[in-house]
Amino acid sequence: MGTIYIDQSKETGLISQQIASLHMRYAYQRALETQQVDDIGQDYLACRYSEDELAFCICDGVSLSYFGNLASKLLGDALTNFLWELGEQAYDEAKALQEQLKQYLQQLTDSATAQLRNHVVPQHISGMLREVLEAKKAHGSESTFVCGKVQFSDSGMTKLALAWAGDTRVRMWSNELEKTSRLGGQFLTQERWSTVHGVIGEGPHVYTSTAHGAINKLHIYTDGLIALDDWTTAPTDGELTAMLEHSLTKPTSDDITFLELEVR
Amino acid sequence: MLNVGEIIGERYVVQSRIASGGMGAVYKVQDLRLNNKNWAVKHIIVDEQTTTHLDELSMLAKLSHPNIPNISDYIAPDREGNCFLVMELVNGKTLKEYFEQRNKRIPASKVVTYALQLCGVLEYLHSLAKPIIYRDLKPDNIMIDERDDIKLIDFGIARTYKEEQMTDTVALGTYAFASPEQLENKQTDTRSDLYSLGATLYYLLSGGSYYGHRRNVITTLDCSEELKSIVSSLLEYDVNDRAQTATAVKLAFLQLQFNDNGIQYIEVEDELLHQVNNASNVFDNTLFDAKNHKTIRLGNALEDKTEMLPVQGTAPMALPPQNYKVQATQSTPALIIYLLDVSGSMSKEMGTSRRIDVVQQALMTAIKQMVFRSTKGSRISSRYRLAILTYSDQVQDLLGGVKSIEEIARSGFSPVLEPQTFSDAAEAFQYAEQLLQAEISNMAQCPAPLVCHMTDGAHTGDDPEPIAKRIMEMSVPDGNVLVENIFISDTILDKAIPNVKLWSGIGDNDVLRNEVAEKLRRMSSVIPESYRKIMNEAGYGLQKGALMMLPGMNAELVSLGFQMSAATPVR
Repeated sequence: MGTIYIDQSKETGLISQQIASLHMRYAYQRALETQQVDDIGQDYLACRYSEDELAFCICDGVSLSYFGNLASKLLGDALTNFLWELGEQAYDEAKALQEQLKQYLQQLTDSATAQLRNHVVPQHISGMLREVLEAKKAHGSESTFVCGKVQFSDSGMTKLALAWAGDTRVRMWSNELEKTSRLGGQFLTQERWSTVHGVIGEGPHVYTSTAHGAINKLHIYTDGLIALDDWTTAPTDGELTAMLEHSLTKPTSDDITFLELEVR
Repeated sequence: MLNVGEIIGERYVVQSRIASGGMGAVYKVQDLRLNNKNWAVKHIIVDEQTTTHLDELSMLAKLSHPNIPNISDYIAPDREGNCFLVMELVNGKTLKEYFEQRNKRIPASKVVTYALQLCGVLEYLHSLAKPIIYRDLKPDNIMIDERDDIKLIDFGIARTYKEEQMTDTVALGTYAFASPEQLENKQTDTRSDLYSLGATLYYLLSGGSYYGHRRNVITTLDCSEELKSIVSSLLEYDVNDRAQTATAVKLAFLQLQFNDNGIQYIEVEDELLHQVNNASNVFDNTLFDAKNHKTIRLGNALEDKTEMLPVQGTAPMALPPQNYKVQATQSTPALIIYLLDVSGSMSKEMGTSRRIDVVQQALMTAIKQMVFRSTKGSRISSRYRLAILTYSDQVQDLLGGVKSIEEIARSGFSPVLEPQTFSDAAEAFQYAEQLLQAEISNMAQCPAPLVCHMTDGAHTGDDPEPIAKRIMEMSVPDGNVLVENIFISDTILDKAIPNVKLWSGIGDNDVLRNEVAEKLRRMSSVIPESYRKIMNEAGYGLQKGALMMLPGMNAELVSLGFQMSAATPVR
């Protein structure tokens, strides 16, 4: 049994980890301007795993909302635990999982709203910025997410469940043949979860598969790593590290979270 | 043949048959595992003659291009040899159906738009590590989808190009669109697809006639000489005389499109030249020169570049991409210059307030909106830089130059605007022009700047229109400088706007009721799609092509105008 909870206040360089037959790579990098002022990143990654199962959640806090890092951490931890504790039900029919997630994400707004109520706009902030932050607080903190759970053995991913709202990338392969289009393509920027409203948009969108070994590799990454969209195969460690570094040279540098799960 | 209701691969239920042909039938199916999503499934029966297709099927499944339906699944052959390709279902019509429904007449400009997309997809197929020759390009195999984009369907006889293979397998392409080498069972290569593209374009431009290898008929086409020349270069009998690459043909079409749009350009250090350079490196150093109706060789360091990119006068560079999609970031902020008329008439009533108070309120709301869009956590990461100028008989620079939104928020900026006397708009535009001249050279990576002008009547002093036009010709790579006008007046339109949210905006053909409004219309840019999208997301129904011109008939419309000025895409 193990857990991974990314520290949003610093970089996590590319890490490779073997969990039985599952090979995992992940990385976390704040946007350049966030690093420059040593602020907290708004992406988040959480995982829980055992010898044959792993649950995860990647969140991308919405910077236009109130402290997007709050929603991303809160949601990432909550969804990882929810899927983990759901047991075999996580791999039910997509509709059933979608319903359970909808209910849970709505319930979660109560505790989230209470947490947000206790969050105080720093005293030194005044004037127009305070006005704007107070207005944002009333609208809540928001985050997009991709969460999932995978059962694995030596022969591949035996069961898989994925759920998402927003434009965080999810890609999957079966023996080097990309199967991402099976997910249906509803990765919409305007969909997200709000501490006040719950899910905004039609999500969560859900995909489940119990086709033994059908999928053997997953990539999940936030839009800061948009350069990876053009890749049809997995980059090596060196290539990925170079892409992370290169992203910092762009004016549009954004937080990046990357997760790869592969049964080899 | 499959029956309706039959289940493929324990997952896809057959709904109906879409088409059938020599290489197999295509069915519409419903996905039991993915919310009953509809897909198209191609049923292929693999026998001894067609087993060579299996490798190609797996290769086709890896294709990824916006003008090719995505292949999402492949079900391997069963004992009887039935295998299936599951792909995106394209809702639309074939180009042939579309063309026939329009009595075989579609405008040449539309043909060029489709041709550009076809060149793009051929360019993609031909430049793969193992180039794919499509070999069956014809109106039957081109779909027009709901967004008026083309999709190339049915890769039934596509194959990878093997240089050593001197003769081709079977001349399967439809006669009228097949290249001479295909019909003669000779080796086909990527240039065979270019011939089929030419034959397809000939069919569309001739009202539905087939080309038939008769060179002289091209001169009878009802289109420009430049377009005829491109079609002619595609239909050359000898592959070595033919246009050589899809990239070169695409560039020729792009050039044609620009010429047709009347865009002038003099600079060559731009994306187009970059593409030309790439084309010359990667392909066969051949580019079709649409303007001079000939194929030219690029070989030696592009010495003919001025011939390819004609110089006309001294107009500033106005080359694509001008898409207004660059996002404002802290290091590449948007620049907005406000020009606010504070003439005497601004003291007139608008609802329960004076016009000038409504403007002041709308300006502050827009500034707060910019702070809102720039705030990350508890800090302002400035996405905007502003200059705020008021003008009467003199221009007053309220911020003392260009300031970041963070500086403005920290300063507690809260102007009190008071009406004065005259309305010297020309002087204000001139001041804005000078500010832009000082700023624009450092804005190559920034969104295109915007000048937002608010007035409530005719100008005094010089005519501001020529200066506004000069400003609109200034540009950064993201696009030309945008000019927006908010005209506070009760008499601008001949009808009221009962619901601002549902209002479609002012277009080129709308009737305006006074000359000031007509002048301001000429001084207004078309709203970029990126801005319009943001306004649409905020609930305003502005239509594509609407001008950045607001009739300030009430406080809500004035506020909408100021909101529009801040609708720059932000990171």
